[in-house]
Amino acid sequence: MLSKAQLEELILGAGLVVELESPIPTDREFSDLGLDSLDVYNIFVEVEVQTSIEIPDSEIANLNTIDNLHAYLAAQDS
Amino acid sequence: MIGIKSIATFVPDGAIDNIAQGERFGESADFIRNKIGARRLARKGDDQDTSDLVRAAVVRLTEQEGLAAEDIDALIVVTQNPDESGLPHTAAVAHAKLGLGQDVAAFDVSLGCSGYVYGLSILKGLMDETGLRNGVLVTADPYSKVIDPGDRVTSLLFGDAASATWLCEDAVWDIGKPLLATDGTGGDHLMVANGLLKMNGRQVFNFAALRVPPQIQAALEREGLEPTDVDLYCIHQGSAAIVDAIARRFPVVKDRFVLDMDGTGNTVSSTVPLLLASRLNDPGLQRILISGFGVGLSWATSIISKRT
Repeated sequence: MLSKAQLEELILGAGLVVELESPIPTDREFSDLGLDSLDVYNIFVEVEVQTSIEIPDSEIANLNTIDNLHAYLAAQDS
Repeated sequence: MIGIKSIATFVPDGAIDNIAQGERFGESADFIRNKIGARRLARKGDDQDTSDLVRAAVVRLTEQEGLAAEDIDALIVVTQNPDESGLPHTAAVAHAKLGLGQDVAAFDVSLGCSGYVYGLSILKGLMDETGLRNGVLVTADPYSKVIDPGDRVTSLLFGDAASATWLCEDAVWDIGKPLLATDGTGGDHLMVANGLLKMNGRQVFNFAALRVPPQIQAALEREGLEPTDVDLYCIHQGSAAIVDAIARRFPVVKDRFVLDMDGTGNTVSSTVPLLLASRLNDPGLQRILISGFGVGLSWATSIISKRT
């Protein structure tokens, strides 16, 4: 199970072009942080590589903050 | 042994300003430059059909590379957007337009972005089996024929182009054995329905980012190579973001992954030969990995090596 800190580290290593503030506000939507759709795709790829958890298309709209993504991964892991 | 002698390309003069198009879809110039990777999308003329692109690429090959048209004895066209409905096959239509003789094997191969890697082996295998001496592998898959101009996902990506690769005994580059893969269960992520291209961008991105790196790694290991043993990685130019997502899995050689689609866009099976055409004569290159991936889902990787 990834901690929020590990999730933040994973996001910073996802090849993003924008510079994110550190620590990343975990409750702000990715779009408000300046991330575009391809940045978010990259984050989900990194999540799948690290956790082997596949995120279905139907969940993408809801997983729009680090908090939401962390909660989703925790639920899948439990 | 049959190998690659040379490559000619044809990029139509017409183009779409992708920065302006992006603005219409609410995308920034930075997004178009850094994520899509193409400020210009090449477009064939309304009066040009697929066979005309084929013809133009083959004519370039004969004029620039010294292949006499009468010496061509095999013509393979990789396309999924043929002339008319594909009957007759575009290779035959182009055969007529080129005025080739009757002792020519000509057929189409229905593959998308993996088609060039597949096609090299198909043509090489055919020539090895039959003794044909001068084969031409053409890629020409103008997606402008099926793009919905109102669809943001596909409109910003694809361009039209063609390439013609000359295979013969007196070659410069040897073609390695490819790794070939298919996942037909993902076919609906990139398909034509009711005459228009539909793409699930996220699933196609996932496919490329997750399936292609292991195949590249396997291709290296099969040849007993380290990533640094390959001078250049010419992978399908799906988008800048896709190239980066794959290159990131190979941090030691990330800078050897070529990104060069700014003036054309994603030209489907033509992206890899477009990269190769301007680089095959670089004396500093001895080994190039090529990889194509996309519609099918289909992916293919091989390594070409300069003859010593």
